[in-house]
Amino acid sequence: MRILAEEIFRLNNRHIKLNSKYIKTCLTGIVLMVVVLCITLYVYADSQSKAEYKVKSAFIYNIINFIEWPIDQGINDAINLCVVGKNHFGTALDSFEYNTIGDKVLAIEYVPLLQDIGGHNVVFICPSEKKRLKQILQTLAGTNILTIGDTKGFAQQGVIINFYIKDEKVRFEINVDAAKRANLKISAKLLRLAKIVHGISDK
Amino acid sequence: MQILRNISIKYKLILICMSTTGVALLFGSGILLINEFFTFRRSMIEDLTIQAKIIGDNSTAALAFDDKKNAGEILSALKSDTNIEFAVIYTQSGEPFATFQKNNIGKDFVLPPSPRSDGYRVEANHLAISQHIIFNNETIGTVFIRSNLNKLYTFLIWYASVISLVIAVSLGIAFSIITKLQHTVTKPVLLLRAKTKKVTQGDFTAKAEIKSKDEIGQLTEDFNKMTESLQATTVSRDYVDSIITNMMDSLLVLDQDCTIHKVNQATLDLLGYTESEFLGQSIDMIYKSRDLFKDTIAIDLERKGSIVNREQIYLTKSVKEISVLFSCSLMRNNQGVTLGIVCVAKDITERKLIEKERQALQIKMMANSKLASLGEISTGIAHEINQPLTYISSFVQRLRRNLKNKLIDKSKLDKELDISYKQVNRIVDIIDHLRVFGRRDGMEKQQVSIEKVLNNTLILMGETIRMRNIKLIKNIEPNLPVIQGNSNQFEQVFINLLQNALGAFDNNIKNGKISIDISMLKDKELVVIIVSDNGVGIKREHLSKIFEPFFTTKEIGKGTGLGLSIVYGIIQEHRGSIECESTINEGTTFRIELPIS
Repeated sequence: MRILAEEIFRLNNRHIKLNSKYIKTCLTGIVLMVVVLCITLYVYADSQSKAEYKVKSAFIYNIINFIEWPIDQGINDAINLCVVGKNHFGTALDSFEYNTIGDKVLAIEYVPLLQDIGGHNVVFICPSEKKRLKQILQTLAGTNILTIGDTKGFAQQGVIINFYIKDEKVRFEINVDAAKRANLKISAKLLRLAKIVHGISDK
Repeated sequence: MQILRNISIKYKLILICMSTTGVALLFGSGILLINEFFTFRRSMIEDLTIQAKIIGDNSTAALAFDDKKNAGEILSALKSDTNIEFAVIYTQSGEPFATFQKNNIGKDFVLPPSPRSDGYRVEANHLAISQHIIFNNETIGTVFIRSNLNKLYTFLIWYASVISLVIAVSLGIAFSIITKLQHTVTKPVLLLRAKTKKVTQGDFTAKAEIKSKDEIGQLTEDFNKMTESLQATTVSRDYVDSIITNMMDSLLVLDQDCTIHKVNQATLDLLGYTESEFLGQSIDMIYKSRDLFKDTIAIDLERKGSIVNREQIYLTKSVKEISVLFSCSLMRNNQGVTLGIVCVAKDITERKLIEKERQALQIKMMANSKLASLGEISTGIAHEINQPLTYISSFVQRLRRNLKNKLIDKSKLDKELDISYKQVNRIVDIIDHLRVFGRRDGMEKQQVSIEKVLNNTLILMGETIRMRNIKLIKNIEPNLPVIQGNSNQFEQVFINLLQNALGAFDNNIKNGKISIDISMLKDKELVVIIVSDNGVGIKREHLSKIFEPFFTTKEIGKGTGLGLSIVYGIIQEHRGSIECESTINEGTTFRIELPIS
């Protein structure tokens, strides 16, 4: 955990800064040196993406710490996290698997397509599922599953927590209505840090 | 302590009470203050620790999601606590994550490095708390809060002020109470002291009032008892002194070496000296010769312990002799050690004079009485003399006749001459005795045989008794001891008693009887003379008066009335006693007891 926290700071404070610098460089580079910089962009975008998802992985793990599921939900030993869609985390998320959250462990599962709610408690909806979001949310409607996304507009559409980048830092917004519907209690501490969104109903 | 010793008991008491109360209050207050200091400090630490914990707990999310702004907002909540100078949230790696500081803190303020452990540190003016921030069982940072101690010091100052006020008020109350209550202790003491002063000045009637039953009460009681006994002794001393001063007899108190230590007024009056002339002088000054006292009285005193009623002669200042009846005794203390000699003397000059006069009177009376007796018994005496004279006369006539007739029988003549001579001697005896008896002699005492005295008496009286046809029975114990006395006086006693007995018989009495018994009571060393008659007796009402002078039942001119009173006086003079018993028509008995020595 100590390592994780450090990692977050490091990534957030340095790498992302660096990355954003490179983005600016890239934008200028596109104009000046298309080909050469295209290669450079690819390389650094990839690394930027990697660093960003590392932060998000840690955030996901931390967020789960601030969420309270209803008692009758029947979370016994594990909190099951399901990543739906094209996985951008790489192995970043795997480092948190089997980490404890309170007295439970985190179990992670990757599925390309959400078939059913399964035994999931947390569902991360990748950007690739933007078109199927409505369908996914419908599938999950009426359950106590925490939905997380990192695509702009997801929160407004009914995803409970959605990451976004502000001032070169990963921030998140919370759709409190959606959380209410999912009957999840989100810690005030978390809410204080988040941008609150009153999302529309999917019904 | 010296000051305590010298001040009045009242202030002493107040001082002791006040200092005791003050010290106790100060000590208690000090303990309270220290206790309050630590309690308050602990509560400050606890408060600050709780605040740190709250900050830490609230900032877990901020730390977890790297939200410095949020952490800063959380920290800024501390601004409501004016004592907190600054607060820092450190990251896990020890870098400051968020800080909060008061405006008044200097610009050159440098953040302290991240503390390594939880806890608090108290400095002179600061209290610093560090508290780890735990998130999901992991330390993700540290909260560090530093507060000044103004609150603590303000509290302490306030508390000390309150305590000072309480002490002041308590001391004030204590002072007013002790000032009121000290009377219960000091008042009896002061009262007692005043009474003691009075007693010192000689007023033994001073009595302290007992109000309490404590030690002072007991002391007062003891004081009263002491005063009482002191009064008793002093009064009795005064009493004794006044007795000594006012006693009529002379009193001299001598030291062991016979110097005069104390005299009373009677002595001064008697001897004409002043007290100062007496004191310290030797007792010899009032005796005729030097060492008379030491040689006679002191030696006797040493032997007997006391001398009672001895006649002495004191010399006055004007060298006049004074007869005194002197008594003295050794004065001893309780341990029996001789302290001196107490001499008491009674002036008996006057008594001596009276005695002399009385003796002269008695002698005169006796002479008169004797003459009277002689007058009364003269008939008897005449008879007594007449008998031998008759014989001699008849013998002379017979001799003349025989001479005329020359019928002289020589042997018969010799015989008759012898008888005549005896008769003459008898007359001579009578006359001699009459001469002796009638003599006015003194009171010289010698060894006297009572029997002889009785026989002499009968020389004069025998014929008188016989003439009256009265039987005289003598019953005299043989070998009677002699008595110290005057024979003439004893003879007078017998004459008077016999005359008295003769007076008890009528002229024509038959079987008249007078008996004289003389015997000795060996155990009492007394000679008992009993003279009794069977005459008419003495009336009961007269019995008590018979020894009074001039009491008589006889016709005027027949009796002087002095007879029995002279008997009484003579017997008294010889330290004897006389009693009379009488029954009318049966007779009278006189019983005389005389001491042999």
